[in-house]
Amino acid sequence: MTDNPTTIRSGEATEPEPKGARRQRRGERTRLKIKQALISQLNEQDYFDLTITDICRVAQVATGGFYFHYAKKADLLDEVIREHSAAFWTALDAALHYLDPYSALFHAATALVRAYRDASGLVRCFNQLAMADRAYVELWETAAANWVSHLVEKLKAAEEADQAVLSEANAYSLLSFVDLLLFKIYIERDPGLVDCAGGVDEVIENVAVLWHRALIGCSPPEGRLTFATQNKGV
Amino acid sequence: MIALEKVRSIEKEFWFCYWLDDDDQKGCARRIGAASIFSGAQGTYRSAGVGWSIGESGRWRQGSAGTDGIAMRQTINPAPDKPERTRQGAKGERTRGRIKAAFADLLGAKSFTSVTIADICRTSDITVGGFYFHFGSQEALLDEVMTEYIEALVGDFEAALEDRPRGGLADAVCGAFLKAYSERVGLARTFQQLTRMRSDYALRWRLASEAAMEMLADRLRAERPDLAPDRARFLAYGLVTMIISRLDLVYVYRDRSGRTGTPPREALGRDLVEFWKRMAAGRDAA
Repeated sequence: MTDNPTTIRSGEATEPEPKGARRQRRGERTRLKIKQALISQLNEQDYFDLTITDICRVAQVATGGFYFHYAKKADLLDEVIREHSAAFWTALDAALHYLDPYSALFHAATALVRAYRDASGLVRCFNQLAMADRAYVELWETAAANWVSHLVEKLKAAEEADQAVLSEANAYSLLSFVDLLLFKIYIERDPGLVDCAGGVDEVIENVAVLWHRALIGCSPPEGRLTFATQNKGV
Repeated sequence: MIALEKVRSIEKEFWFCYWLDDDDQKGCARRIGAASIFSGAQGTYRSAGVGWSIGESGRWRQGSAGTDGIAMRQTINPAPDKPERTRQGAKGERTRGRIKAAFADLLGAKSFTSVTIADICRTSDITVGGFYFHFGSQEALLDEVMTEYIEALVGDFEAALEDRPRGGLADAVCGAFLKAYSERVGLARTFQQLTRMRSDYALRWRLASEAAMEMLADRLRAERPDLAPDRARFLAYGLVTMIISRLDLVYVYRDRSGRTGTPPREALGRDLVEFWKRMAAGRDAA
């Protein structure tokens, strides 16, 4: 009752590290190792064929250590997917900070290409699961609808686009288009498409150009394009 | 390993030859040549300096390649080895047709993994024994129904690419896909799921549509000579992907999202053509 709040605060500040903190940090490191092992193994192997033993071997963690952190394989995957999804949408949101539409679409395309190329196994697995599990469909749909509505707001404010075509439904379907095209290039690796797509930078620019044309009704300003001027554009 | 796949085109049959190399990146099949043959299935065909032959025992064989686990049919010999269905005349064909139609109907309401043979028999009014007389398994039925769907879709797609007055290309190609999706929703949905879930179906679509993609790229180049050949193909893939992604949203994910009802077919067609024209327009059009 008579305790002075300032003393309490200073007492807390000087309190030594709680006993479990080091163990907790080590636990986090182990979790991180397991998660990284999952992502790298998914690039080699189908999720359904992947065993916990495989993951532990790559992560250099004892099988018991795995079960200390996760009850089952699906829990691990769920955590990884949610973390990646959060990082992915943060990167896409950041793209919307660019003022002009082409920069925004270009950086969004960059974020998508990076996510698909760097964690192709994870994206493939996410798509397989989304076929069966509604929760994953919603994870994508909610975030996508939200992002698209920000994009449309931004474009309307910029007043460059043709207002008639610029409905959220249209913008949403164009995001699906970009998603499917990159899926075919980096995850399905359709040889016919991979052969004509060129390098990563070319893919990003050409996808952003198609996206810009469909959304806004014209090509981006000539000066902004690199490959289009080298006869490598669409 | 060399694999051959038959692709039906309007007037002729194409054989595509794929070299499957285990070291090849992620088991992707790479096309090394294509030939068109007009009669007979056996023999040696030569194209673009690459020769290959269809083996004497041209039976269906399963092959697998690479780390990706692509399974594909190898070496097709349609004529001599395949036993004729001597016991089935016109009536047998009618029953097969009835089973296939019933299956296609069921796919409109259910996913292909949850349709049972009992469902199919009940809907088509035949016995389970009758079903097995006509089809070895449900997988065989699925296989046949999807093959017909893909052939019809690719047939319409290729027909849309035939020479027509400038500007009609977008309408014709969008119309071909729109027809497949709107008239056979169950099959379209099954096709979408299969191509996303199973690499053998993805490969099948790839092989079936490849020739049409080349034709589309040529048509696009004819309209826009500034396009490099590679980029004309990229644009062709882009346009078809745009159509498919939009139609998937409307017809396949429809009941899932509940966000939008099915728009009228005409409005959807107009949207597709509008997007096509915007995307295919070159820099000069800006």
